[in-house]
Formats: sequence, structure tokens, C-alpha cells
Amino acid sequence: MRYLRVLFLDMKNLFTNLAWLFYAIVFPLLLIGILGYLTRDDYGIHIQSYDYYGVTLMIFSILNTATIAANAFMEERIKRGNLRIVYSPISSSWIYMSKIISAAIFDLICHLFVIVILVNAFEFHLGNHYVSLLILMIIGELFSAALGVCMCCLLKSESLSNQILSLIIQLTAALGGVFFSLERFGHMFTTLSYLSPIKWMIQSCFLCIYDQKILPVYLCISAFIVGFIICIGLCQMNWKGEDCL
Amino acid sequence: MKALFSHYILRLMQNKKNLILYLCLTIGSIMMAIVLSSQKTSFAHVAVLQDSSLPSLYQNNVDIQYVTSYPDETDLITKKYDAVVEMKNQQLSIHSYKNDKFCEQLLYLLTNSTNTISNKQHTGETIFGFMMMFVMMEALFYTTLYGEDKDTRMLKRIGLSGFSIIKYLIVHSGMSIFLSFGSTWLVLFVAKMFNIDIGMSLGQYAILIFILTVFATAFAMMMNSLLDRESTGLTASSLIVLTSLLSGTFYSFVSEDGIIGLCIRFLPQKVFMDFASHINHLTSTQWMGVGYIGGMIFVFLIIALVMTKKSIIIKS
Repeated sequence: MRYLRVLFLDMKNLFTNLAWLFYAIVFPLLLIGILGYLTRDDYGIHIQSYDYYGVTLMIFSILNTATIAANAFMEERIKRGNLRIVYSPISSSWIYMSKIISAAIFDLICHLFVIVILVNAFEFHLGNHYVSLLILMIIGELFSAALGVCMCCLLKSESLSNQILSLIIQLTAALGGVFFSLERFGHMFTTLSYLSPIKWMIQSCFLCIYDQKILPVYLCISAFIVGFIICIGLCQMNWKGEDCL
Repeated sequence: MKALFSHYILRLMQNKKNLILYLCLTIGSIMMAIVLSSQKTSFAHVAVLQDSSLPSLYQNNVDIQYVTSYPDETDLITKKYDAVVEMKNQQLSIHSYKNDKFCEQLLYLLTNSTNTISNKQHTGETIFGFMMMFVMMEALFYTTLYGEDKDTRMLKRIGLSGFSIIKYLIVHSGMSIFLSFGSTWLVLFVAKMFNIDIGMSLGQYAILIFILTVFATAFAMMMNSLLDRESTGLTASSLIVLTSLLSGTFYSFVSEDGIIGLCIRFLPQKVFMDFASHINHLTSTQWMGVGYIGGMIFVFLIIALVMTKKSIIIKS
């Protein structure tokens, strides 16, 4: 019960912050809308540019959960609350576990909301295997939330880890073809873009939606699970209660 | 003032990891731009299904790849191929997600011999466009020390000690301009030393990068003065990414018509791109653009100054 109470308060903290709601709901919608509208000539009527940007930018926002989790974990005003939990009869690992879970749930709800809007307003295609995509989304949110918290544990500072994280995410996103596909630039850039894990995700999602191949999605999911376990392990090793706050 | 300078450098040196990271990013972006600008551009990439009855196709403007089996739909979505061409009933049939106008044009280019359409972007322009976003990020990083001072009330102490706030802001923005300008320009200088084609002369780059770094610093200072440390990084970097993408600094993939097109023309990055592409023959439009940028810099700095003064007064 005590554990659930902490989780509930973390969730409440996230849902009552307007800036994060904006970042999780309005920002992806705005990006998809603007980029899709501007590149509408690149696609036709059957498959719209919203279908491309819907997938890529959703993946981008899922990875951006890392920044929200980092924020929810080590923001100045939350640090004090964390310090109190350290001295309460709750396992201190639960402090970061609850942040990971609450950030993942918060973003999952926000992103599902975005997808519902996309499907209704932009006729966004999801294919027949949306259950696998949903699983990918859940695991992806968990992984990126864990990544954000793990960076915080390693660097002991929220702003520094957020800067590094957003830089890395934006770089891999640009390389992976979130904003525009690099494949048209020839072989070299295609190979380069496969360096980015985001490219793998995008490719597997498209393969699942348009070619009915589900195996790549499950490969992605297992990669995320491995990443999640590594992140949690790193958190456990570097998290020393009050020393980190 | 001298103490502030040395203090700034001392604090920056404690953060070597980030310094190196940003340097690597600048180098990477410039290298990528150099590679990209040497690439050949063509009207479309097309996958052609191999067939014995296939007529000869012209490859002047279209990049053709012969494939034995039908490619995945994903390749069409991710723009690996713009279209798939195959023989159906002794006729070329085009399967594409693009509009009909594109298909007609493609069919014409494939079956008729035409001259090469060249719309290659200037090398210097590509390089400048690529590094624009990274330079702005760099300025954001170099001004975090100011944000830190503001948040930890150090600025209030400095203000109370009788040290002029204007001088403080000059030192911090000056250092940010100097560092981001120096690192970017040096990379280009080294590239030039290795005889790599960078499109423009180093002097022209110096002018462009100088204006850009002043603008980026003014923007970063304003963001830091308006928001607290946590939100600055997030908000400012997403703003930078969004506006850079929209202005087509990486790759102009957007159609510029309608209201959004008009708005894009007012984005500072777009003005910079325009200035870079006309650097050899500047007209009054470009000078107006420079004036526009200058005005923005002025407004940003004034906002930063006012907000800084305000934050000191209220909290003390």
C-alpha cells in the first residue's frame, strides 16, 4: 500500500504539470501536423505523409519519455520529496522504480491519446497487427523511462543528463530518418542510418503495418527488454539513496 | 571583469565531457554536409522489376535499380524507391505512393531522352545549413552557466556586490560567442587546410558564422533569462530543432506555399540560408534580412537584460 501511495503521488505530480502534458500531447501532434502538411506533395492520396510522420514521430516521442522521466526523477522540488522517502520504511530502490513506472504510464496514456486523434483526424493507418505495436509501445516507454532515470543516476544531475539525452535522441532521430528519410541519399546514408536504433524501430513498424511481417517488431521488443534490464541494473549499482540527491 | 572571465573558463573546464561532445558534433555535422553536397541528385529513385520484354530506359535523370523480386511496401514508404516499375500487358506500369503528376513525369523521363536537370545546392550553403542547428545548440550549452548563476541566486550576490549586471551579461555572451564561433570556424579552417572543398571562402564563413553565433547567443540568453534552468534546455532545444527543420536547413523537403510557407520565410534560419546562398551577390533583400536578424538580436538582448534585472530586484 505504501508503495502504491508513492506511485500514485508520482503520477499525480506528472499529470498536474501542464508543461509535461504539453510536451507529451501537443508537441508530437504539432510536429506531425506541420511536417505532414508541408510534405503532403511527397505522398499521394492513398498513403499520406501523415502516415510516415505518424509512425516516425510517435517513436521519437516514445524515446523522449526519457527526458520526462529524468525530469520527474530529479527536478529540484522533487528531490526534497525523494529525500523524505529515503528515510521512510520503503525500499530505496522503489524511488526510481516508481518514477520509471509512473513516467511510462503517463506517456503511454498521452501517446495513446495522440494516436486516437491521429486515427480519427488524419486517417492514420495502423495495419492489422496493432496489438504487437501496442506491446512495442509499452515496452518502448518503459525502456526510455528507465534510460532517463539511469542517466540521472549516473550523472547525478538532471539538467546535464537531460541535455545529453535530448542531444543523443535528436541525433539518432535525425540519423534514423524521423524528420525525413535518409534513404534517398544513396547507399552510404542508408548504411549510416542503420547505425541508429530508431531506424530499426521505424523499419520494423513499417514492415509490420504495410508488409504484415511481425518478427522484426518482436526483435525490437526483445532488444528493449534487454536494454531495460541493463538500465535497471545500472540504476541499482549507482543509486545510493541520499548521496545522489 | 577579468575575474569573471577566468571564473567562466574555470567552470567550463570542469565540464570537459560536454565540451568535447559539442566539438565532435560540430565536426560530424560539417563532415556529413561535405559528403552530402558531393552526392549526385536525381529526379527519382526507381526499382525496376527485371523482365525480358523490358524496353531500354533512359537514366539521365532517374536513378534505376534492377531488382528480381518485388520490393517491400516499406521501401516505398521510407523513400528508398520513389516508385516500382514493372511490365504489365506489354506496357510500363508504375506503382507509387506519389501523385499522378509525378507518375506521368517519371514515365516521360524514363521513355524519352532528355538533358540532365541539375538542381544541385551550393556546397557552402549545405555546410552552413547543416551546422546551423549545432551552432545554436552550442550557444545554448555555453550560456547554461548564466542560467545556473540565476537559479542558484549567485547572480543576486553578484548584483549586490556592486558589479554591473551589464558587464556580467557582456562577459557571458561574449564568451559564448567567442567559443562557439572559434570552434566552428576552426573546424572549417582545418578542412580547408586539408584541401577539402567547402564551397565558400573562410572570410565569408567568418561573417556568416559570426552573425549566427551572435544571434544564437542572444536567443540562448533570452531563453535562459525567461525560464528556469530545467525548462530552458528542453524548450530551447526543441524550438531550435523545429525551426531548423522547417527552414530546410538540412534538406529543403517542404513546399513553401500558403500561410505556413509565409511564416517560414520569417524564421531566422531561413533568412540565414537566403543570405548564405546569395553571399556572392548581395541584394537589398539580403540586407533587409540582416537588418531583421539584427533587430531580433537587439530585442532578445533587451529582454535578457530586463528579465535579469527584474529577477535580481524581486528576489532581494
